[in-house]
Amino acid sequence: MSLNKFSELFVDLDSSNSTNNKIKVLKTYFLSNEPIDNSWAIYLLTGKSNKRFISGRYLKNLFSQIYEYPQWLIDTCYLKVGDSAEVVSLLLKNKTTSRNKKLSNISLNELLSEKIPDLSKLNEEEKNLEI
Amino acid sequence: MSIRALRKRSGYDKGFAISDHADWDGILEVVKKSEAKNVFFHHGDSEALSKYLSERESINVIFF
Repeated sequence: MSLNKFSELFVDLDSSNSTNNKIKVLKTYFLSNEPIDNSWAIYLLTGKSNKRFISGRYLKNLFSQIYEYPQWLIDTCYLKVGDSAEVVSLLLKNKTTSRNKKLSNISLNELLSEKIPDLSKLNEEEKNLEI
Repeated sequence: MSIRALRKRSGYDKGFAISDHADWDGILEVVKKSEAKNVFFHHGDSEALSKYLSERESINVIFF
């Protein structure tokens, strides 16, 4: 199942205070996925994480370069939001590219066991292109 | 309310912007299309916007 579906699952879980509703959402998700992707979903939802390959500062700098946002403006957003990845995610909301669309269909397994670990093997320029 | 931490702190399920004011993109669009040379700030959290207009768009910003 795709990264997009996991993203939807997270939003559904995050936007409900009802335990019964969360159980229902999780059940639907797990029944429609491959076991390997379900394992990754549980891994992520229980707060486990792999070694961080990209820092928040790196992400913000890259966003600033690509979209020509002044660094101070991104830092101002960070003061309000409190999380670098969320800042970039919110700023990217209206900036869908064909690459984003392609990645949204990648499986959790492929993303977490191949794509992200592969980033650590790249030099900075290659990594920027890949991200 | 699009910001997760604010939503969680207030205990809301869903968060979304609901306002009859223009947002960041809307204000920039109006300024750009109107070809304004001066922008007056009257109230609100205007520090970032005034700095952006001044630095990036070379627009004269005035507070009153």
